[in-house]
Formats: sequence, C-alpha cells, structure tokens
Amino acid sequence: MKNRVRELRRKRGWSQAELGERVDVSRQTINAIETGKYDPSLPLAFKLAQVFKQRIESMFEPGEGRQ
Amino acid sequence: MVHYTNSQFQLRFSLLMAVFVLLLVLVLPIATGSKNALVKAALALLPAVPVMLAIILWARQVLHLDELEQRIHVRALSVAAAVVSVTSIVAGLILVAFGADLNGGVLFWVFGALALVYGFLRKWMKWRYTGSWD
Repeated sequence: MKNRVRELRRKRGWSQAELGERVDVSRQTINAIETGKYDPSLPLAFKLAQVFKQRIESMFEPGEGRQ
Repeated sequence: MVHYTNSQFQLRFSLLMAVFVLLLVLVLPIATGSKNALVKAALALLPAVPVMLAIILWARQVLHLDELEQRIHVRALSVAAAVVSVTSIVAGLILVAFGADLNGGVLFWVFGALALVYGFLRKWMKWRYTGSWD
C-alpha cells in the first residue's frame, strides 16, 4: 500500500518519534509504515488520518507493499 | 503494569534463563538423590519457576507493544515453534533409529532452544521491518 504519511509528517515538521507518540506507536513502526514495509491496521490508519486531519482514502492507496 | 525497554527486558529474560540453567545443574542432582517423594518433587519442579516467570515477563512485555512489534513477536514465536518442533522430531527419530539411550532430561532444553531461536528471529524480523536491531 502506498501512503502519504512521510509527506504529511514533514509538512507539519514532526519527527517520526513525535508522530509515533501522537498515535501511540514506536518510532520504528512509523518508519516501517513510511517506507512501505508495513501496512497499518485499520484502527491505526484511522488514527493517522485523524492526526493529519485527512480522509483515510487520501492518505492510503492500494499498491505494492511488503507485509 | 511495568513496561521495560527492549534492553531491560532482554536483561531480565536472560537472567531468568541463567537461573533456570543454574537450578538445572545444581538442584536436579539433589532431587534425583532424594528419598523423600515430596522433597524430590519440590526440588525437581524448582527450575520451572524461573521459566514461568520468564513467560509472564514476556507476555506482559508483548501486551504493551504496538501492533507492528506484536506482529514481529508473534511471527518470530510461530516460526521458532515450527523450527524447534521439526528439529526435535527429526532428532528424536534419528536417535531412536540408532538406539540412543536418552532420558527425559533432554526435554529441558526444548524451552531454551525455543527462546534462543525466537530471540534470533525476533531481532532479524525487527531489522527487516524497521532497519533497527533494537
């Protein structure tokens, strides 16, 4: 799955650790999501969308991803 | 509930495993030689205490982790269980075929082997997902 997490995080000037704290996951998990190595669960994807004030479908789109 | 960092958790887990091995080596010979059945059973079961504490420690640790970390733990544990199961079956069959005289003592090492393989796989999977060894 492709996502815009890195782009949106950088726009807000947050570090991976800061974003991790906001959605209650580790910095490494944010890194894995941003690099497409891990697709978040639906609840976590909604949390991310909420934090960035985005619609979930504008943040995530189907594509190649490693699980 | 207390939540440890990875290194704190690994230190505590390793210490409990060291106590387990120490009890195996020190207490088990005494249990074997004991005449009293109650003392024999109590001494024989003593090494199981640090193992149970290690399992409780592991479960509490995993419950506090986020979804990716939990996935890594569960995957590592599943693969480790498969590896140790297949290895013990193959080794058992070979040893029986060659008439090896084994006692139940070899079963002590199943948990140790599981913990070792699981620990290695967890590190490797974490590195694959996150690029970090810690």
